[in-house]
Amino acid sequence: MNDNVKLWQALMFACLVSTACFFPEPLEAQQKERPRKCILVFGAHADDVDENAGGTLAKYVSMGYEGVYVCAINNLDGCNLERTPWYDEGPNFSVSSSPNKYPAGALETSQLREEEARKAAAVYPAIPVFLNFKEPTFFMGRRRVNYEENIFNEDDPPGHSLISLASHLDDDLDMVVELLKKYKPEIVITHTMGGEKLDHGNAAYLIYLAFKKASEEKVPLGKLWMVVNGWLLDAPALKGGKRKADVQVDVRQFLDKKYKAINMHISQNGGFGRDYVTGNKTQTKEVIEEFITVMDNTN
Amino acid sequence: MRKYIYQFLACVMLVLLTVSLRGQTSIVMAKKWGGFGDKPGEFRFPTMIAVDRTGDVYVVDQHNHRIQKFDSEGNFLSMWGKFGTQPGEFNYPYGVAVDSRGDVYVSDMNNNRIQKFSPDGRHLLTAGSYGPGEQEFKYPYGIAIDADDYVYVMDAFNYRIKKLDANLKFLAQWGSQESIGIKLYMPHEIAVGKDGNLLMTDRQNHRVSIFTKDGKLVGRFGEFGEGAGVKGSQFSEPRGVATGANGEIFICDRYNFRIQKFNAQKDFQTQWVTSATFDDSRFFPLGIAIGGNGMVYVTDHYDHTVHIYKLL
Repeated sequence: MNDNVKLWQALMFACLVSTACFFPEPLEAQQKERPRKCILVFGAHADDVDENAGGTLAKYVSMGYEGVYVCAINNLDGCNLERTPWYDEGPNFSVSSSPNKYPAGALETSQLREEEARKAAAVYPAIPVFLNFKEPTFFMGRRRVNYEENIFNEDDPPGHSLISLASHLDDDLDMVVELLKKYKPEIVITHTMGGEKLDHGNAAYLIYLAFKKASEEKVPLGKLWMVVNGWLLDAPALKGGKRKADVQVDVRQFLDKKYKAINMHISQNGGFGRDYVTGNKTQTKEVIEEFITVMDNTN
Repeated sequence: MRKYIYQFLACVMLVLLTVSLRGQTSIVMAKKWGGFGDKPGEFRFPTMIAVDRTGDVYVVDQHNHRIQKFDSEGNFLSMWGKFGTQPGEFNYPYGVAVDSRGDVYVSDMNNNRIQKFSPDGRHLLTAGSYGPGEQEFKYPYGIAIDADDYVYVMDAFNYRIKKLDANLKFLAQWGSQESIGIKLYMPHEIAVGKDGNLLMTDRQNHRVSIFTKDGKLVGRFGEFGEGAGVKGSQFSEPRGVATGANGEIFICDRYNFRIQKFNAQKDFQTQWVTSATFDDSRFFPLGIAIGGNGMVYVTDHYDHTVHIYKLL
């Protein structure tokens, strides 16, 4: 009798093992390998996470998700000593009467913007990750140096290859795949592919390829969302009714956090964030952050 | 042949341009060496420079991730370092200073640490890692050593000055964005005056600030000025700072492409341009050090050269 029981137990165990082998765990079960669900926001530059999806990140973190704040590009460009880089009428950083902007060097710009991004990530709070891709331009003195110039190569600013080339290099793609393997995010948010800036579009393309590759390798990933802006939703596209957002996240309860995070990027907005950029007028549409689902492994 | 003619004409122009505008002191460029490259004696974006008691000169060859040592005449002696994180390796070093024993201290900026070497480049000590703590740094830039061999480090993104002993042990720190009077960037360059106070070039405010060793602001001088008609004591993004044996202060005035000299009382004395070509994307004086012989050593960051000037 005892022998029969043991035999049955062995058979049952063998069945269970073979079932598990033939039928992989559903996504939800695999996600349990990590203690918390994860939302990963993938920005090209230091402030893109906050600008694109700060409210959504804050909301999901408040729901218990682990937040991951990714800056793909090692920002080399975009800081000035005297005043904000993009707005002549912006706040001054100095007490002098200099009429000039003084672009900071590539090294110090990347350092400053990384520090700002760390502070912004701490607002949510989220884990800051810096992938250290090179920016294709930086300032040498007051002159903007572009990637194709000899002087760019002579300077050899720190970082991996340019993200604009990254999609052709397996090493760079694999680096992002490893990132996805590490965090196994249920939600990934990035720029619009082919979007409003070359760096943004390339960052989106890179993570799209990485998401696809990781999914093929059975990494338990959920959905890839891209923000609703950029050329995919330009006037002709809208007129044709194409590419409408299929995800709308109400972030009105989390705008304070989003703006606080944006304000951490002092070198970009003087610490005035949205108040400064919008002239203190609330952008009502910001209470909803909209995305397009580009990939969905949960179906 | 044409190259040599241009070089000769450039030297003539430099001699003419380096004559003091006041006419009281003449400044002559005694030597210029370097050029872009990674061979001994060549540089890729040199930053700070220091002179030891024997007159030997140490240059931070930043983008080659190494230190080069020269005699007082600019003849190559030795070099050490390469890119990396191991002891003796560097990741974009920035500052250099020499103590009374001749040991060399380097701020290994992107490794967030300070390294100490013997005069022949043997690694002695390393201290620091990334962070806000007492033994940590967030991008250390300028470094200076006082007469008692205490080490002062510009801990840039902690917005502090850190004081270390000769064994790189933390002793004290002070500073904040408010106390230094900046909104965005920590100043990068520092020197110790003959009176023991610390001089910092506050480049975003175009002035020089003077602090006691415990961080009390005791003076400022300078204001913004740039281009034709710029006066002494006016600056356009001042950078490297050094002090002479009699307390004189030398400042690299970046976008005026010149060095300004002040006496110990901060009175303007003289100035000279360091570049014959006013090209703000190619030349600017960054690091400066004074030799025991009174000669002034200047690094030109974008020209990848070191200059020696004699004040006659």
